[in-house]
Amino acid sequence: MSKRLLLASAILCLAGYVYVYATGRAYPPIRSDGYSYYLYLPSWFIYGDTTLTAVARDCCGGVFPTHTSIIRWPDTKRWVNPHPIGVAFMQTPFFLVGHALSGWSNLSPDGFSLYYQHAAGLAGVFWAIAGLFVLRRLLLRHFSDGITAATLLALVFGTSLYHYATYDSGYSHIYAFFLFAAFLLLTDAWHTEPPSSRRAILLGLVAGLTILTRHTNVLLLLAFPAYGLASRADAIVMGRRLATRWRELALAAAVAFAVCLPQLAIYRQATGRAIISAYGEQHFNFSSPELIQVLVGVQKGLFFWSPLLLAAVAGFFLKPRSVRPFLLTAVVVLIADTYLIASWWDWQFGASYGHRAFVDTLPLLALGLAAFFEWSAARALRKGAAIVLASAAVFLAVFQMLQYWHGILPMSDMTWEQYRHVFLRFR
Amino acid sequence: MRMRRTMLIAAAVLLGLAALLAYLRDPPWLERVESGFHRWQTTPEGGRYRWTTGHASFFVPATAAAIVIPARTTFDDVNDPSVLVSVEIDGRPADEFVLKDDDWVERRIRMPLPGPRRVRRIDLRVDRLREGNRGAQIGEIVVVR
Repeated sequence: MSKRLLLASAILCLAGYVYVYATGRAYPPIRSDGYSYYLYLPSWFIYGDTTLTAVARDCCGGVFPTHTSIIRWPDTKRWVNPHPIGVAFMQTPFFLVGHALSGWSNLSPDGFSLYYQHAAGLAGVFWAIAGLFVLRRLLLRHFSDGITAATLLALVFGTSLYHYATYDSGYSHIYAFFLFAAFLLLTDAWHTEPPSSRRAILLGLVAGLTILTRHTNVLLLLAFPAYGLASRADAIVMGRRLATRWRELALAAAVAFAVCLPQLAIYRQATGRAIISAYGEQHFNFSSPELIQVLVGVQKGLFFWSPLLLAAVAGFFLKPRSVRPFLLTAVVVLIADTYLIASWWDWQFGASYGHRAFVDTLPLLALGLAAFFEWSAARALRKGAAIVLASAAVFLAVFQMLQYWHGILPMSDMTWEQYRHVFLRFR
Repeated sequence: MRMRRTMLIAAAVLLGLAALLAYLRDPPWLERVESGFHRWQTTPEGGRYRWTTGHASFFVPATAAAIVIPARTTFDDVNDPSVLVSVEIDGRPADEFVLKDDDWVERRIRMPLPGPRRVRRIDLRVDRLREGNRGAQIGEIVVVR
């Protein structure tokens, strides 16, 4: 059942993408943050330039507009992109097809004409589907096929995942979603299956790409050491396991470091230093995080816009045995990530549907959601209630997403009065 | 049996790809494709124009003997430098002109002999931008047959 659902989700993701762009609901896919994540590709492959200077000359008269947040480093006067190279790396095959097709059709080979735009957009759709594929495999290791199918269905349509797989597929979040799902699957396999060099290499590759996609997502890698830890005895077992399998760990670490090297080289070329903060004047307010706002606020609150995820959190408490290996990960990663998101100066994360920063951690929340569905399925009454509540949450999420697509919901700074005024209205 | 089926599917996919590539070589909708422009706006006199970014491109029919490009830019500050606009046809340099003041310039460009395609690509590049990623205002292109 979950296999068919996965196929249906893939078709619906493609259909949603076509709808968004065929009806002019959204600007071309390379926009907003998606622009600066993508920018490396024309710079590297068209201009053979790692400094972004040539692409700045062609796209923008030599100076990147301020909304891109790409800054000139004060000492060297070279361009520094706040967004790292991971997304561009994962878009590369699609970009190369778009580039070849642009030459073939005589479209401008500048990195931003029609085929490049949809190569970048469809890359996001591809990685969303790949993420669901990987997540299904992870869920099937711990849950039945029926629970897995219900979880995937609820996750795709009851959260903002579908939106970031289609309308805003150029952003980094859907890439991070795939990478975190893959990291959790590989972590699960590493701790429970016989040693494998291939798996260690994959683990290192995914860990490196996770860091390259959003540097702050290094937090998500805590899932590896936190796996299965629930007591002191677990910690001793884990310590022994890590000590005996140090070669695999060293291999994974070496691969992750090698994956990150190009980014360090780019920073060094631009600034003279390999490790920098590329955010310029943008900053974290660690002493005054907007925790309430990012969790339940009307502007972008995670649970306000995706109430279904309350069930995901509940799942970790209601059926902890099913998700035991990920319990500590859930506590540590979700709390630390929420604190980090809430501390960012622009805690709304700009124009977006729901809180986009949480899309990255949806694979972890999916485990909690599956645990909730498993708990609900144990009794008929609970099951009925869960179906009704989940269906209502999915309906609300899809309706509000369509409101956003049609410009009925504002892109940011929503007020309670505005929300009440447009609640369940399409005009 | 299974091998034969796989071969048939592979052949069908290759055939489909070849057909798609043949179609994309010179598709009829290309004339409506453009990039690097902001949205259309209207002058107080009722004329339509839109801003380019640093690089904009559009297509004209291959039957065009010449095109006329109406262009201007703004000089909000007396110190605003002039803007050089470079024009390429099918990726080859065709013309360049300077916008020194905020008057409209109508630049007529003769098209070189056409190739086998039904449309020709025109690229416009400006050497500097105004605030908001705006290069030059481009009016409605006139195609001379």
